[in-house]
Amino acid sequence: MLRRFCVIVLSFILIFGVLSYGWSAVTLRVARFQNAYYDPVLEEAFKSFMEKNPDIKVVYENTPGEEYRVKLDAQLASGAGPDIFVIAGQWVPVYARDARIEPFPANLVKSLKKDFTPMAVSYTYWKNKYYGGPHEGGPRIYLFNKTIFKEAGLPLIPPKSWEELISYAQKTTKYDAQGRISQAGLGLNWGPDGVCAWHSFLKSAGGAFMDEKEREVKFNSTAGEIALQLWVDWVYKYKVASPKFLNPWDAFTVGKEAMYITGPWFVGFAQTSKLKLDYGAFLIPPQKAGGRHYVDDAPWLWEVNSASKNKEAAWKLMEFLMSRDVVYNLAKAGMAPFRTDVIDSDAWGRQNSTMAVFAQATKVGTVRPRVFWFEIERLLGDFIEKALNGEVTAGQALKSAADAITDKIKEEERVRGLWW
Amino acid sequence: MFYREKITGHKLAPYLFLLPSLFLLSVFVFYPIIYALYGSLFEWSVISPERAFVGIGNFRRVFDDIFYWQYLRQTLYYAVGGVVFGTISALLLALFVNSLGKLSIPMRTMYFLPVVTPVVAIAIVWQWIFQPQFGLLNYILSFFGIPPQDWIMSSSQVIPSLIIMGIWHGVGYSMVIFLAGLQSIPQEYYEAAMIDGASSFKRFQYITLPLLAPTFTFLLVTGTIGGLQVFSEPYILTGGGPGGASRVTGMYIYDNAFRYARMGLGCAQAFVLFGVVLVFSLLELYLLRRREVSF
Repeated sequence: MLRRFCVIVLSFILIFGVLSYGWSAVTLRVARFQNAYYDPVLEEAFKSFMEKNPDIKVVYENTPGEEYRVKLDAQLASGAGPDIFVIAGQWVPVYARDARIEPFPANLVKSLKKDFTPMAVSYTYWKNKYYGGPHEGGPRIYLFNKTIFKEAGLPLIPPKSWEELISYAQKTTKYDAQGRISQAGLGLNWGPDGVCAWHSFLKSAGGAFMDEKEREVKFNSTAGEIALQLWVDWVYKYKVASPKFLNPWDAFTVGKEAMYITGPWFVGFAQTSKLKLDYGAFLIPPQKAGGRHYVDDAPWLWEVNSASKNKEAAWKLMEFLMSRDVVYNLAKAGMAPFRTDVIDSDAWGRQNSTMAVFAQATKVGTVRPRVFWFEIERLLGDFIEKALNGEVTAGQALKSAADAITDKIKEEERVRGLWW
Repeated sequence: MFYREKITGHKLAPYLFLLPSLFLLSVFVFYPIIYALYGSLFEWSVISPERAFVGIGNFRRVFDDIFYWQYLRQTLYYAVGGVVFGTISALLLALFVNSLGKLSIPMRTMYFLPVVTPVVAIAIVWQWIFQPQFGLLNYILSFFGIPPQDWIMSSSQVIPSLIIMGIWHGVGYSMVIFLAGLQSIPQEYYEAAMIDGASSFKRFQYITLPLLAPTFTFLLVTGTIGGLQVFSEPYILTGGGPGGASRVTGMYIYDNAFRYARMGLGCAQAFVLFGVVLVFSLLELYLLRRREVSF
């Protein structure tokens, strides 16, 4: 009797186990860095995906920004990486080289090229393959304080050239009794952010960070010196900016700065903080009137982990994340989109005049170098700070930075060969 | 003739109590150190499944890297300045608090509060204190006719600014250690000295200081180790600026390992720093231990 009972129970367990295996949900882990505005939208999107795909469960893992890359790299190294994760566009060469990201299948490459801006698509391209669905952008443009402009008698229209930008800045700068700036005409972007902001000026002067193959540093040129000297002149010649003044983000937020280069994240911050600030936006002006506008931008990309055991499900989710609905809802929450059919929609460009400028900026984004971007950010950033602090001239700063980065390039070639 | 001692539970007990800590130390301290040493012999990017053996190649790169030595000099400047001025400040504070009688308990608590405050909060507040135009420090200096200083916006003043913040943050801890040292000095020595007509300065010079020597040794050695490994304070307060003037070795190691995807090089840099810390610690121990006395 007992034996029969055991056989029946074990049979049930075996049958149930086999059947459950076929019914069990595939679990996809998705990793991104935390953002208070976008996380709720993504959670809703994943819920919607799971309703349409009941055999797939999505677990969203978000990590504070500063810790994100360290955690991601540690997970990938230990084989416990998420199925889908975001990386910066500049990381694609290294992650592709180390076979950590999966190249796009042909059908998604077709959608990528059709639906997204050429600039965003260019960041996903590496060694004849496409990696990554463009996710979040960060075009850098000028925000300006309309109240300060009106007080100074300035029209609420963008300056057309560097000369006009300086003129606007001179009219909006105020000084205290000791001759120090008490209201800045221009904010001075500092550190790595400064390099990103300076990119537009460098391009406008006819320069570039590196050659196309990223073998040679190019910013150490006449164009580079003109672009950096402009910033140095803001501080010492025209006295419309100062590294000793308030942090430019803080200064703009409290209405002590007329113009400041930043990205769309300021819009979300201003809305959430209920800032009483009347501001507008314009593209960074070209060197001369009528010239082309350049906007520094680089996307964050969704990637499929090449070690994922659920690639089929991951590509399904990737296609969903690149779809219009998801990008549209994220744009409504303030995320700069790269889908061409969302950029000019009411979720983004058509909201108001400031967003229209961001939309325009998204379309004319300028590509950064990728392989040595972090060296450029760090080393060039340091030397730009030295020039703005008056420790070195613009030419000396660019030469020292160029020499240092060239050494890093040669070292990389010596150690790893010319892998890029 | 050999015989085995019977192993009793009584003799096993200490080892059993040690096991959990030993296990945690092995997993989270010893194993990572050994693995890092092993990793320093390879060219790898932590996410790379393959790694190329380069032997001492990474260490050669460290010795040829001018930025590494620049940042190490800056780190040494911070560590030496912080340890010297921090220790002197802590001793003076301890002497003051020790003389307060019943008030010493609330004062001790007050001076210890910064020690338990998160570094992020401290750094954010001190960014405002050091602000060249609107900061509290320049405002206070103006009452003494001292012109405003650039503090963290000056290449020459940024490390002293970090030292000031570091001392404010950590002096409470050193003060408490000194207090314990002061209170362990037998009062009879002071009484005997007073009977012999020694002034308070002489009592301090010939009784307090020599008997505090072990405390000095402990604080100077641990302070140097901590100072050379500094990371959070400059990372948050200055980001390494202006112009890299406050970038410390710890930040450069982090950049190489995680931003530039050169983990092998980062490990090698960490071990070179370890060597520097070891040399300094041993030198301090050798010089300071000779001065320790007992009565």
